[in-house]
Amino acid sequence: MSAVVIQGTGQAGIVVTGNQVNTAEWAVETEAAVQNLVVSGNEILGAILYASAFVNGVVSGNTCRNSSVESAVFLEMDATCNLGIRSNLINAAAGHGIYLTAESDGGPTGVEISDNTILGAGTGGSFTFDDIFIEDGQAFLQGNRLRAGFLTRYGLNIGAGSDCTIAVGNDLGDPGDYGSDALNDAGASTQLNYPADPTYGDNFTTCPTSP
Amino acid sequence: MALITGTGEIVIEGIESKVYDLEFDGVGLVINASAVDVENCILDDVTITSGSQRTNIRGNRVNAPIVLQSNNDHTLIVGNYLNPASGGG
Repeated sequence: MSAVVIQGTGQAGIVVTGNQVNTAEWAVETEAAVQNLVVSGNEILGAILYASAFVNGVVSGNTCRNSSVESAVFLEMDATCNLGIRSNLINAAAGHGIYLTAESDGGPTGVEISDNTILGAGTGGSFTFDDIFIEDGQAFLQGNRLRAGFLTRYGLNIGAGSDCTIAVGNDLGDPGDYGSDALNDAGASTQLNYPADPTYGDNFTTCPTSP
Repeated sequence: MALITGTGEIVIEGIESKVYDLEFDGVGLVINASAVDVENCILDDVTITSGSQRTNIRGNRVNAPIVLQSNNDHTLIVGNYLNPASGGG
């Protein structure tokens, strides 16, 4: 069971910080469309966050180890969630380290995943889990440090349901350490290079497929 | 620290109530008011009812899930030891 369970509607400004957590599931589990959720600075034996609805928030500075559930950070939704997942240490997750997937159609968008360290995800499978898996939706990934464990499939896996995910400046580790590879890109319009745009330089503006 | 044993639950109804230095053994804590502070307690189930806002849960040992039902704006859960599998739930 999860340590903090957020239900219902109209949830806003909830702060979960500085706790020590021992859980077989997540430190925070939310099925509410929370406005301005902060999950920061927690020391967690277990996983960090499951969300099936989410609007605006930050998950930062948490350390998590030996999670036994699907993924240490698990977003299963179809919405623009404006979520920053920053500077977390995720060690030996049983499933994916960070996992974005659709609940029914589309997946989560507007997710920033930056400066996290994810070590050896996938201990609960046999080369079936990744340090980061963007199965659906859209994310901006930058500055993450990923390393394989004995059973990690990919460092960064961008699935066919992803559209316009940006991944630049990440340290993926030795490709030979992974079961499959350090990177898999099956997404649509993934951007893996800085744009070097004559006007905006190495800053991104719109996705090539955007109107 | 006073010990509260048995079954069922204790419901906090007063706005700006303080709950501190209590051990709940088998008894759930239900917060049904706004601006309630819960500090330095040992807790089993904790439920924050719909519409209860500005709850401050700080410095406790919590042995079951903390459940926020709805419209629980500005809830703070800070500096606790959360061990949901060890007690009630």
